[in-house]
Amino acid sequence: MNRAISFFLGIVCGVAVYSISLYVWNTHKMTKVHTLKQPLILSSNVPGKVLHLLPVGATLYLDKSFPEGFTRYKIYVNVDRMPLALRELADPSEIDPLEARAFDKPTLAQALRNYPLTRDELAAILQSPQLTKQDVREVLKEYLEKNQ
Amino acid sequence: MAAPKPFETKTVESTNPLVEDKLNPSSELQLLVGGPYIAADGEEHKYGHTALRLKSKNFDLTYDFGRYGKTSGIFGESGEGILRVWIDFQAYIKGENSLKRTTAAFVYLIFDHQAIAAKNYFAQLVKGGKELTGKKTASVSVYKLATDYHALGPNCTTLSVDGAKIAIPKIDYGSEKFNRPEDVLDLKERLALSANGGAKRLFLPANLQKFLSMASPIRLLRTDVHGGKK
Repeated sequence: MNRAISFFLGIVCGVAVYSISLYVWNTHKMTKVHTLKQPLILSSNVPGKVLHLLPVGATLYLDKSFPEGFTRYKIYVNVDRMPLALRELADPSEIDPLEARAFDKPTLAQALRNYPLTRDELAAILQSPQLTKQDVREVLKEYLEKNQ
Repeated sequence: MAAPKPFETKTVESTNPLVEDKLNPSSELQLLVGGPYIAADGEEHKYGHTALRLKSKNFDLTYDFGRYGKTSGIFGESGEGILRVWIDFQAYIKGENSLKRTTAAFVYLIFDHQAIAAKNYFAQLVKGGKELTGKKTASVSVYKLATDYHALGPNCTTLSVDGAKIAIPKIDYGSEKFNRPEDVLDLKERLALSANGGAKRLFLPANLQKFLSMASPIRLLRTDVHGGKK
């Protein structure tokens, strides 16, 4: 009888130690972040012709990467004094991400055409990794020719 | 109406596409198998990624299926089946190369009508789904298919092979012997695989690469290699 109780207590202790270790590891593991130096273009499943930007200075918290080749990040947003209607998620594991990408030649042309960009914003966009110097030259030349 | 002259022949113009198609296989089917890569968090992704490229004189399309939308499951193993159709191959491969992953392109020479048949297969899939116009760019169109994605299939490999089979029906003959997840997945992933009942057909890009390298039942035109560690 004593052996059975000892065995049972051993199991309970083992589970407790494992759970505490897991909790401590989860709460203290290193968080990796990236702070944007160039704005990114955001898109969702909802169609639209307007460019939505994730601004310079936004901090992205690393979540996980996928075999397809993309990496998922979390962004924390404070919504100030505006209670939002909430719904329960049927599948708690479901994640519905937005998609973000760097500026390329067509979107640079679109941004110059349709948005009032400050000098700093334009300078940051021109640093986007998808833009070659040739792309920038062509888009700016076209923009200047149309707006002279 | 005058009776036709005896022994008069009627030749078909050599520019007739049908004749060209039957005599000269001039299109290409490329199974693109992306190898492992190390992500920003240091995690090594051994699973890989497969896409299918159809290249003919009238089109050059790359079909890239994955979890590019909603995901679910403990490991994010399932989700919306999102098909990205690239009209600019360089844009697709530039993205893959930026991961410092090596992509092996297994290239098969096919007739135009075979390329068109495979293209029509994907057109049907797209027709049954929905275009996500908000995600369209100059290089790629994005579609949510009627069928969801699952890491064990339908996934990037099974959909690419299904499309390839429309053009070359025997392209995966004998591939079941190369369905060896234990060569690629770690213990945690293999346990998850067992819990889901396993996969009867080849579904891992790395297994597909080994099969095409060692036992392709159809003669390869060539194998191209893109990217890799510089």
